[in-house]
Amino acid sequence: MDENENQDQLPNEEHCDRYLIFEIDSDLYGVNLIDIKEVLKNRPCKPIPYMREYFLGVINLRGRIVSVIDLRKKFKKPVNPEKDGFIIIIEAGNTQIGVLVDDIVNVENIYKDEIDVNPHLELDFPMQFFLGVGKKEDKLINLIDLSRCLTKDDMRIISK
Amino acid sequence: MSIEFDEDFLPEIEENVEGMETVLLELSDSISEEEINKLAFFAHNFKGSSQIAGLDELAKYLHEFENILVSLKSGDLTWSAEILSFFFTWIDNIKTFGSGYARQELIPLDFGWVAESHKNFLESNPSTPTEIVAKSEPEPQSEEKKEEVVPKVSKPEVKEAEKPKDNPQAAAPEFIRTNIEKLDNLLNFVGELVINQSILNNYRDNDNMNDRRVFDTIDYLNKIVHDISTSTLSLRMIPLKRFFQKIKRIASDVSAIQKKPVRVVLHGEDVELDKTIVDKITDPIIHIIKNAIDHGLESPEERVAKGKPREGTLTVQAIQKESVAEILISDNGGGLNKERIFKKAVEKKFISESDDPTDEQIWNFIFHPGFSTAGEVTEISGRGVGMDVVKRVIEGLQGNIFIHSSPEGTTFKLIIPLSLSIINGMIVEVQKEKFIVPVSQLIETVELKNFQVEKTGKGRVLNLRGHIIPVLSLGRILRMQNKDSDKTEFENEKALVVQVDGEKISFEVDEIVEQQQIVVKKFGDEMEDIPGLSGGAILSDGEPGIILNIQEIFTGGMGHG
Repeated sequence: MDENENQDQLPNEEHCDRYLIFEIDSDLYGVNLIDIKEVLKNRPCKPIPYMREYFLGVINLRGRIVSVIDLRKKFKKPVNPEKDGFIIIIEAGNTQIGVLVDDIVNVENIYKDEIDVNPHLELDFPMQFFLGVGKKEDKLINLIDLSRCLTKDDMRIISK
Repeated sequence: MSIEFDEDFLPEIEENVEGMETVLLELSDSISEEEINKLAFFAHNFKGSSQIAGLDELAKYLHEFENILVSLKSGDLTWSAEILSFFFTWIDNIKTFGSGYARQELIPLDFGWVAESHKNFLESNPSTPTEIVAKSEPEPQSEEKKEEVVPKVSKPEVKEAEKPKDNPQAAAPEFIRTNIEKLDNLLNFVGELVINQSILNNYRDNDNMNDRRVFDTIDYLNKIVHDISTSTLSLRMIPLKRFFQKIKRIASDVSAIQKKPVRVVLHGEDVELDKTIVDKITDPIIHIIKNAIDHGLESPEERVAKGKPREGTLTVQAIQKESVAEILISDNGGGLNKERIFKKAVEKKFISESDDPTDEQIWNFIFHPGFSTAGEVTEISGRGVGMDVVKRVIEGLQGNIFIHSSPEGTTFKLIIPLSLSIINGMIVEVQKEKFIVPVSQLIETVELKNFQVEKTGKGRVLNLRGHIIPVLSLGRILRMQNKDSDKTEFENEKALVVQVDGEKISFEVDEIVEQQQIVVKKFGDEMEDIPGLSGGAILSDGEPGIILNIQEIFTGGMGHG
């Protein structure tokens, strides 16, 4: 786009996204708020046969059946028994998926120039989720994309 | 062939003519890919239904029109005012035909004229750079000609834009024709619902919630909600009448090609099924019918030699049961050849020669993938759809297929749920978890303590009135327990008896909770296509439940794993 030079004076919405920050095993993660439908307190899930271990089951979300996965198990992190946990409902296309995490921290505006997409550090969770590392004050936040990765994820043990 | 005038075909004419006319009226000096696709969609559907109605001339008339659309789409033909006016004359002719049909009068349609016009358009098409045209044009105009060629350059773009719509079927909205009475009924019920809602609100606003009449109103609301759900479902239901007409036509085509005279007897054209189900069972049933005439019925000479009437009979009967429809397809041919099937099953290593299968097991081999061989493929039956596909489609619908065969003929019995949106479900409990099993898949349920169950080398068997059938733990198959239970003494345990590949099998469950109407909910993509799990539902306690496809659970390999 050929916009004029005044662009920098406009409120920087284009350069900034809002992220929901949550915690797993005292690490911080951020998911773009656009992908999030709602957040629920953890609740019992109905287990489903033939699914992988991190697949917790399904819940009734106002008449809709929604699958819930344990992101802590998916990321091979220890499950903190003292945390009740929250289920983040991610929406991608027609699919909704719930993701169980330890705790919800807050919502942050993170500017594009605060994101390092190529940090020199070793990831300890699956690479395909990784978008970049956001730096906010002295905190480091792993920005991840759940919407695309989870809907394409193969959660079942068997298939037709 | 003589034409049976069918009142039901009139709305079909109206609908398609109206659809095409709407597109045509929007056209002026250009036609877009989308508009061509829309016209093609209507023309194609209309052609199909005219064939079913036996109106070959109309079908050809539409076919020639489709050819023009193909030329327009490929760019061989450029849009012109002449073509537009031709289209209008063309559709007027169909309208005339339609009003004639309404008076039970066949007005001839000249499909030759359509083909001829197509040819003329192609020849006089300015964008087709034929030498003759270029020569006959005077010099100054040839420059204009070049300009006209310019849009041709942009053609690849148009084609690319069309790519995502390559499949017009997928993009086209689906319609259902319904009886207006059904809609009126639904509106009446909704009216009642609104009235009773305001009555309840009134009690609440006046703090009268303990009034006896509140309970009456709630009872009445329950009834209304039930009525609304039934009548909403009925909107998706269509009678089998049109499907039966198709059967009749196909049977007569096959009978003509095979030179086997066939009498087609149809019963139950008023039975209604969900439109999606009718669409899905159409091909499998047609396949069975083609097979029945092709392989099932003997040649007329053979029949006469056997002392049977020369003419074979094909009976298709639909019977509506409480929550399922039974479709019986019978021929009075010579029956399945047990020895041949057995030999082939041995050849294909489905069984070993020393096995002693029951008749039913033998018949069921024809459903095995890879059973039918190239040697048997004929013009009629062989089109890549085998009996294994037939079985898969029916079971995919939570239905069931049975064969019975004797030297007097073969009968296929299809059990099909009436609807996919609300099913009759049996709620069972396994390891404290509830699961839903569609009643349409069950043969019966038994109270295990009333039957004799014994351990054998492989597992447990149940003596079901003289039939020895295996007992498997549903919990083991659902991987909730590691191995089959070895219990032979029972308290409350029940068993679900189902038929898989011609054999009865029973699944032990801890409890049968109840039988109820289940509103089927789809799972998300991440859980689609898991064999054995066909969907979910919200149970009356608000918890989600899983609907099992019990045949698939067993044949999907889990039963043996």
